[in-house]
Amino acid sequence: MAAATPMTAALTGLSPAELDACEAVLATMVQDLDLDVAGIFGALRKGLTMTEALGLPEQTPDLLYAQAVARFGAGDHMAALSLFQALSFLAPGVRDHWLGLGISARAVEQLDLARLAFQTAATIAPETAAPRFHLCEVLCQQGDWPGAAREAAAFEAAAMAPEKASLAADLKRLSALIELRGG
Amino acid sequence: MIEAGQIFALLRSFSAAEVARRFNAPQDGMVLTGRTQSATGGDPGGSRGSVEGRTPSDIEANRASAGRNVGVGAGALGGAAASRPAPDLMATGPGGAASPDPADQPAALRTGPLRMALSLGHLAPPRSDLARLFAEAALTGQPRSGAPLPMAGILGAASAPGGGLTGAAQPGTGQAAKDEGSLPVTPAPRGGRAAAPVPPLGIAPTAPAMRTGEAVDPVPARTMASPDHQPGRLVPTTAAALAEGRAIPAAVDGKALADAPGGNISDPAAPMGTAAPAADSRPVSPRATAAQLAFAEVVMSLVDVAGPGRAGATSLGSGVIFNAAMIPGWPYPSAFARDGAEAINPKALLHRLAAAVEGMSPEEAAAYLAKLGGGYAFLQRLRKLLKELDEIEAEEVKGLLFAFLETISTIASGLQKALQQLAESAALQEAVVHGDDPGPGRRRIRL
Repeated sequence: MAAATPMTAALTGLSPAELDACEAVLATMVQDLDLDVAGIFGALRKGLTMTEALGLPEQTPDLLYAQAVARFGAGDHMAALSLFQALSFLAPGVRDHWLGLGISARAVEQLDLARLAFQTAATIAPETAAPRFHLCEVLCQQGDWPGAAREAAAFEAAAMAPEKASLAADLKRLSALIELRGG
Repeated sequence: MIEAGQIFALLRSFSAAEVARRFNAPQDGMVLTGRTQSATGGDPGGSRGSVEGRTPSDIEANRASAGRNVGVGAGALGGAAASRPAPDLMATGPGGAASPDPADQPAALRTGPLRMALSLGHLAPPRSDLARLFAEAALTGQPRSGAPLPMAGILGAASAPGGGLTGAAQPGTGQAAKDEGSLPVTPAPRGGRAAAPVPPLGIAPTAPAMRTGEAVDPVPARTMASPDHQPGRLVPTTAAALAEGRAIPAAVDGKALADAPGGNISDPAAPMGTAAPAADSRPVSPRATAAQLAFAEVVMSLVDVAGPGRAGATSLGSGVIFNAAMIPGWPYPSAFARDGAEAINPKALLHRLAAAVEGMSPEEAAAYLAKLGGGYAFLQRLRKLLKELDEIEAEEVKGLLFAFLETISTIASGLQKALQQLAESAALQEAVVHGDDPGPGRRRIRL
């Protein structure tokens, strides 16, 4: 299921008059920001994607993704987090953008953001195992043992794939921990 | 501060010939090969989150290379003395009492530290050309040899069975020794499909289809090289050709590389190593030259996509402050994540967002709005404008404006980081080409 962004939902949730008001306010800010924010807003209203509205090359998500992975691998988790955040806006329907955001958020101990990102990844690709595993992890880290137990069960129910097989041993250990903690 | 709009405008303004002149000067004897497995993190299984076979020294080494090994990764269960256990993950009984004796723990917990997957090993690999480029850039400030690559952790993780980077030589093989010191080049497909054998230096399937978690058939490298592939996409041109010992193509997507001043690739029949010497004959690191080629391809692809007619299109202006300042609840409201897209209540979301800003002290609001680029004057003007507008939900409009600016700021922040890395890489390669490489530890070049 493709995920709607909060921005998209916000745009569709307001009346034309309200959106016009927003655009009018933004039009007054163009000079302050040195950026045609009203034009970008108007493009979004017309249904353009964020990448299109910003006039970015279509390969921008690829560039950001490669950069995010490189920064994460180099230990610069904050930079990776920022890059994955940008990706989650530019291409919100891609599961791994949210997984990367969640993993980066965990690395910098922003556990709530990590949980939300993993939940979003699970929403986008509910049949895959990796989001469930990562969600189980972060819920264990937050001490939400019943929640972790639910995610572990969801992991078991996920479609079999090499990804799931590679995580199964780790999940078994998580499950043992959850059981110990009464989850 | 690098301004993203300016950098993009710069990239868009490059002609293919200029890009080639700047970054695409092949050197005699250059060989682009795959990185050895040992150099990409010699613990492919452990990097993905496996608990088998990891020693305390492994963990410490991983910490050293990856900065912080935080969270439950530090939790040691089952007798591992590598680090202090994370409190939340101490193996305790149902009553909450700690169980230090491994014999009291389930068998699944006795075998070693419970190291959770603080790696990106389960994500689709980035495009191989971009991964190579940024891996090279990540070498900035690193010794040329004798030290692990900054990318070691993630590359090692991605090399695990079931996904990740392949195509690089495996440890203990002759190819590994041959490839020592070069960079990884060919990711394998991820997302739940076993990696199919791929030829060395093949161009990996491109994202984002690979990143959706769905099984996607890998795109053969030859598909990318087919005559009818879409212009603007990266193609296995110079770098792959060099690596395969073939002649460098005379043109990329119709752009003649032969026009490049100083270039020596005008003869497509000339094999690598027999080309005429470049105008600047100073020695160049083969690895650096490979990165030049990768960078040139990235830049050219951007130029192709942007096109001359779009050079002046909407860009991110210099006035926007590229620091994402997250309002609590935005852009990841719990309702959105927990219940899916259907559960979003836009009006409630926007009300909450506006309330979050309005709930700030004047100082906090001013600081926040300054980060968004609006300034406190914006908030005052916004209040004035909303008073003049009737029949609208002022709070929702205000929330939407904040959300919009937050979104733009977040994207701009990410772009800034990515482009900064590109600029650093370009500056480094330029310095290396001209023999001005400052050497390890002094390569951090910022604009």
